[in-house]
Amino acid sequence: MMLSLSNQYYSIFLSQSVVSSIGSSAVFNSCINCLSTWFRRKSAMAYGIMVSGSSFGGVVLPILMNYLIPKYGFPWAIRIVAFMFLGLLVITNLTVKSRLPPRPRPFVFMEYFHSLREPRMALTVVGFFLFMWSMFLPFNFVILQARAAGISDSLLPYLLPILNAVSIFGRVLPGIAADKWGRYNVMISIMLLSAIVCLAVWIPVNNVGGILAFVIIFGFSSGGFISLGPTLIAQISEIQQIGTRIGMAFAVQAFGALTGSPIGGAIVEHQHGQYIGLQLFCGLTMVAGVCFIFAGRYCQVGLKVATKV
Amino acid sequence: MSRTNSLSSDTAVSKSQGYASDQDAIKHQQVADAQHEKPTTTASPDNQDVEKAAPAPAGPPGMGDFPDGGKEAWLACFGGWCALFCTFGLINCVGVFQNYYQTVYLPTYDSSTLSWITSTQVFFMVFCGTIVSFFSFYVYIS
Repeated sequence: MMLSLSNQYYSIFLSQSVVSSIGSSAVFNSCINCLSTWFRRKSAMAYGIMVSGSSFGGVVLPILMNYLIPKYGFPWAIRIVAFMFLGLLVITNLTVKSRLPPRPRPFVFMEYFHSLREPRMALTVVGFFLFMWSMFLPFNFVILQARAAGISDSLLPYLLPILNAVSIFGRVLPGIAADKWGRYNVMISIMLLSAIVCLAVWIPVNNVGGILAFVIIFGFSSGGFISLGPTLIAQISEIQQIGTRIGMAFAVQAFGALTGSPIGGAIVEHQHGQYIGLQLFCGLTMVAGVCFIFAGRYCQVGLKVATKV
Repeated sequence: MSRTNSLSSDTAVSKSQGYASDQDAIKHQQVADAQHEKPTTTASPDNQDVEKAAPAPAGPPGMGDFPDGGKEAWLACFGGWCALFCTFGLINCVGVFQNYYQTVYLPTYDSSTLSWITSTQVFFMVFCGTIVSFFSFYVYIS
């Protein structure tokens, strides 16, 4: 609502970036935690269904906003979207409840850092940070880059919906594969796939086909990264440490997400509107992330390739 | 063994109290104890020790009887779907905001400055998850 009243940089920043996202974070984390009190055997399926909501949002919302903004202007478009959210969140308030009472724990700040003493944990977290540095760059800039490459205006609004629609599959299928072939193995493959498609498809091929191929494959691999990330941490942790360690890994990744896009934007500005620098930064940072995750895997099983890790 | 006998008398006691299972009885017992209320069972101290000791091998209270389905569980899943549609769905379309701000709404600012808006949004979403999860810790999916 506040965003709809904003037309200055600082007010947009405060309303969209700070306030609404803190609230959104509270909502989404509570839902995830509540869901885990209802499901145990079917938790992967229920979790997958719930997380598919975000991909559906990513499909519907860009198309909706692209339709509403020219017709009603930005303020009213945001208000309409906000009313829709209000309706949906009323449903959420009525249906989501926890089955178990909360168990208060003492807060030990250093708990968050002790886990970094383990080499495989530290390497995995650094790998996630590097990948997250670059993962949001396509989300933020693919529309602008496609416009600069001359893609028609009728296709531009649909790039993000395509990316998000494919990421529905990307969240489910790698999870199934990871149970079969090993979480680290599948994660390394997914990250390598996205690095390769960034360097080999996004950079050289500047027509509709190339950008669509990039969007589709990247959508799949980014969904895989998001869904597999916590499971990798869970694999190398004691059961009572999992929550703390995943929280710490997410906090580190958050700094990657925070700084990655502004760095990309600065690179574009420095190159006067050329996107090659941003694309190289994106692809090469992903390669660096793969190297660190591979090192984390090396700490566990050495250089054996055909091992389920 | 005396422990088994205590457990079976436990079950008899819990069923006589109208609980669906002795797990529920144990859960209610522990919640009551945590709230410093007088326990409602008339079990002897030996039974109480067994009741308190019994869940320890099984895990935290309520751990054993996940419904894994049923109307309430799937409604909670649907409610979570709606919530994630709103929250994370907006994160997934940061590109739309970036594109719009850069071309139409705030064209005087450069690309990097504008990308701080969306990246800070993502940052707070992920970072505050750490803090929020701490306060709402129940059980974690492994």
